[in-house]
Amino acid sequence: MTSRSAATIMRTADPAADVAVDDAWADAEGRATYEQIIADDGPPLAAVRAPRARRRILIGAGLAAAAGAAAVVVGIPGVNHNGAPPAWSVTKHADGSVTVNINDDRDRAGLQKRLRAAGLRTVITTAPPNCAGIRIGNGSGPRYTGWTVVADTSTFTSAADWQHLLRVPKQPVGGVRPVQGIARWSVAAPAEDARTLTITIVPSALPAGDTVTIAFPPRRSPLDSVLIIQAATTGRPLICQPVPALSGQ
Amino acid sequence: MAREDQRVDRDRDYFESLYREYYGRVLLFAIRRTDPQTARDVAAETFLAAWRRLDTVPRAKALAWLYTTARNTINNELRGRTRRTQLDERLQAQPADPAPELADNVAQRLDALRLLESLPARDREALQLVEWDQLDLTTAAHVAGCSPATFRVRLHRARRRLLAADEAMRRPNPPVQNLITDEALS
Repeated sequence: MTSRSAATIMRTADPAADVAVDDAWADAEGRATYEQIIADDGPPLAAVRAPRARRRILIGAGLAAAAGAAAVVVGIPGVNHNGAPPAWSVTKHADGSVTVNINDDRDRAGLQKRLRAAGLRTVITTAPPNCAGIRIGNGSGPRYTGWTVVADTSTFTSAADWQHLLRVPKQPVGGVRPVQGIARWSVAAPAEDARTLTITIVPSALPAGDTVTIAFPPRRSPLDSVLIIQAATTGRPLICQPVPALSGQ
Repeated sequence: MAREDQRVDRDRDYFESLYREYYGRVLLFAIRRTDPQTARDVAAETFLAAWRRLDTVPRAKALAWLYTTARNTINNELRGRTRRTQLDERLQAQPADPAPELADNVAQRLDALRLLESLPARDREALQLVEWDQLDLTTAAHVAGCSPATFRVRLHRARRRLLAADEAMRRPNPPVQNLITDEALS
């Protein structure tokens, strides 16, 4: 019997002896992980260390979902200190577009700061009680079920105009409704059971002098399932004429 | 605002350079110590920690910092698993029916893993950091959380124990037939 060295035994035992990972950072999962991490704006890590097992499962689920999607679509990065998903995440892509995921209305100042850092003229606000978005669905399941999009008709006259500025997971459900100088339509959430609203904005498509306003619905509003996103001349207050419910809603 | 934007850009550039350079190595580090899916989670959590604590990641020792974070993440993970051992999971991670030409390699690997698993955890870790991860003594000591002198002693002891375990395993078993007399069989 010939003896072998410790190094030889260790090489034999190496579970990764045949694994090539040099380019793992660039594969689908590696890129999805990167996008999720840099979109994270959670609390200091010390605050999220427990419960450990739950956190891993949530991150894993997020990665699995992201890995199956196109690289530019991101999921929820990590969790906050309560074990819940983060309020929001923002990802800036190589083409300059910005993807916003919104899960709830915490840390609005942080969201505004992050969007501005990503190059988008943005105001985050709360819609007044009489200015709720058009309700989509019954609103009893997910926290948010969709967006109502409004704009100055001087610059946006059709849904096609929006496609340059906004990329949404679904087609609008209400069409464009010019009302007293605004265009308005609604976009459903990605899925009936989705808890996160996702929208991708192209800052370069925003007309000079305009600002995107994202208005969270007032809490406890009967129409609190929809957020308003507005593109209008900078400084213009939130457009909030009452609009009749869409047919079929 | 412009100054804040510049800082954000600098942070992102630095983080991306870390990610490009070290993601694969951190992933490999984790694959060697847990199952492949958990390894991806460990790598993600390690870099999430780096992103959130970017100002505390030492530029000259970034890899040691990442390995230490990954090690702690894995240890937390393993502590949370009470029903199955690490080796059990590795065994389950093997193909259920390896191709015949691979069977010998798989058997040899499992034998070597069993040897490694027979060592105390600190000895095992010392060997892994040096032989698998190819870390120098100073970096390996940093990751293991001890002084280089302590690590050197630990590594020397681990090598001796591994070789002793190997020799014991490869030593022929006592010939059972000698315990049974020819008369008893007749």
